[in-house]
Amino acid sequence: MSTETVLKLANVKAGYGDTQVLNDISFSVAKGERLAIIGRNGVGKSTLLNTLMGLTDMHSGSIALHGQAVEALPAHKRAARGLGLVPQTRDIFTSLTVEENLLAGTKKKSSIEEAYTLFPRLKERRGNSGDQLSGGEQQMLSIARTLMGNPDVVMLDEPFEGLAPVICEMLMEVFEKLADGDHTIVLVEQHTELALEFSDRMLILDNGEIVFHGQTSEVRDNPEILERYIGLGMA
Amino acid sequence: MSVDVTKSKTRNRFKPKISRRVLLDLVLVTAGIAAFFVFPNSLGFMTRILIMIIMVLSLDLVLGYAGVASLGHAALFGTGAYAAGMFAVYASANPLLGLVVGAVAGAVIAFVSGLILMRASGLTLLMLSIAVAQILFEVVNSERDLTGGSDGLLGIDMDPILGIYAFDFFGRTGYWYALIVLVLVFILLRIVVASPFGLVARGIHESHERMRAIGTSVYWRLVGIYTLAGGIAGIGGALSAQVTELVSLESLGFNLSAEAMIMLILGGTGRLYGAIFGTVIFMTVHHTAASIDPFNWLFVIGGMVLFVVYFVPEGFMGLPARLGKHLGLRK
Repeated sequence: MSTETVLKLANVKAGYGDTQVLNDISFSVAKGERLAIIGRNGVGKSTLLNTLMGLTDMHSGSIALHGQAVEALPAHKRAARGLGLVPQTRDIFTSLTVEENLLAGTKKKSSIEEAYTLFPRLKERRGNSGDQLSGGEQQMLSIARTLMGNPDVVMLDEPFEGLAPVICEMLMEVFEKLADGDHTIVLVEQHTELALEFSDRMLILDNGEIVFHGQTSEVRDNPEILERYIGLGMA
Repeated sequence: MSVDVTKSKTRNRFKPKISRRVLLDLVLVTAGIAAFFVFPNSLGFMTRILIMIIMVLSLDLVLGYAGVASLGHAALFGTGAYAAGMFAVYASANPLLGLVVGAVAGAVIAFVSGLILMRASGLTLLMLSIAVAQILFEVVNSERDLTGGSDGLLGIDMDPILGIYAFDFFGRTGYWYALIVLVLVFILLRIVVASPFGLVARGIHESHERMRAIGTSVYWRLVGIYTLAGGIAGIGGALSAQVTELVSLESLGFNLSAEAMIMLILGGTGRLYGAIFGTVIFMTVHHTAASIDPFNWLFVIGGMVLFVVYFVPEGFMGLPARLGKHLGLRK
């Protein structure tokens, strides 16, 4: 992991319309780092990722990607600069086939083969439409679709939600590969064990604010941190 | 790293769909050719159907693929018609050049109006699209010296196509001309909707937000799609001007926009064939019902629309699948 800062947020306040969800969020992520964001339901984890992507209303603060301010840019320009979001709702295009989902709007058809290498199952299902896929396949497609944009920072919003353990394991392997390949990963996750297993650093959100920010090893060594902030004990 | 996910269905829709489509395309082209010989006395009416199909195909690109509901599509068709008509009257009566002029005019007006329209959505967009068409209608109506105003643009006398095929009184040349242009437009659209550009349109239809998040400028893509649709509608308008040698104000009217939308809904949106079947069904029923009862024919159309909306929301193109499902032939 390098020390180069890829993503930096300073005093970000954001929400939907006039409703503020995030309050004074500041943190930075280094290149190749694996950051996990955890917290109870409804504390603003997804809103944080959506704000980074430019899909919410930002009230104040700044977001810098590779040292350049992006808070005023629309989502598609942030994507072009290297931000990629895999949304919680997956949001694949159900009327399109797997291959069409991957091709939509892309200029580099060669990236499809890379996506198929990462997810061989998608190649087998390339002619099937989005609504004919299982939950796991939909998640693979959503991740592959995001990777088609060649992002430096991959933001994953609860990617394991509702998936069988075998699929979670397989996705975890993919995320490991991405991180090893110099992608910066920001993972929002409800499964604390998975977040602890995967990340280098953790943020705990509560009520739209960062209540804990530290190394994952610190949380592993002091499970009471989880108990204190999200009411979870660790086995 | 391959994962065996056994729960999902395994039907692959690539190959069968392609062969089925090619077969349907051949059937449609054959039907178009056969109609010339079977109904030699209705060539004018059938040519109008072919021209209308081009307009409805253009609307399908906007509404069916990109999900942009417009009630002002006649603005694009009418612009193409007036541009080609005026080009024929004041500049050159070459039909192919006229087609290009109609396409460019339709595309330009779509691009300019699209810059405003594509910023809106829902009811606002519907109202704005009507407003654009109405503004053009009034402009054309007020410029009587140039456009003929409410009398329509007269004096169009087209040269033979390629200097060989003269437009004849029975409409034979017009029919073949319209059929060939329609086939070319259909092939173009087939290529477009299967391209990444067309896939983006379908993606936008499903989720603006997701398309933005994967790096697509939704606004500019919509403007691009609308401009292309404008070009195609303009070709339809130009054909209409050349074949009938008249451009009337109705080509910019609200009725035409509304009828085009009904035709598309009847046939089924977002599949191109729907535009063909919807237009043929609407215009044939219109023609037949209006000749039987000139005052109450709209009841028949209204009944068909109600039937489709309530029982086959996918349009008549969805009828075989629905019947098959009903009869237990399909899952």
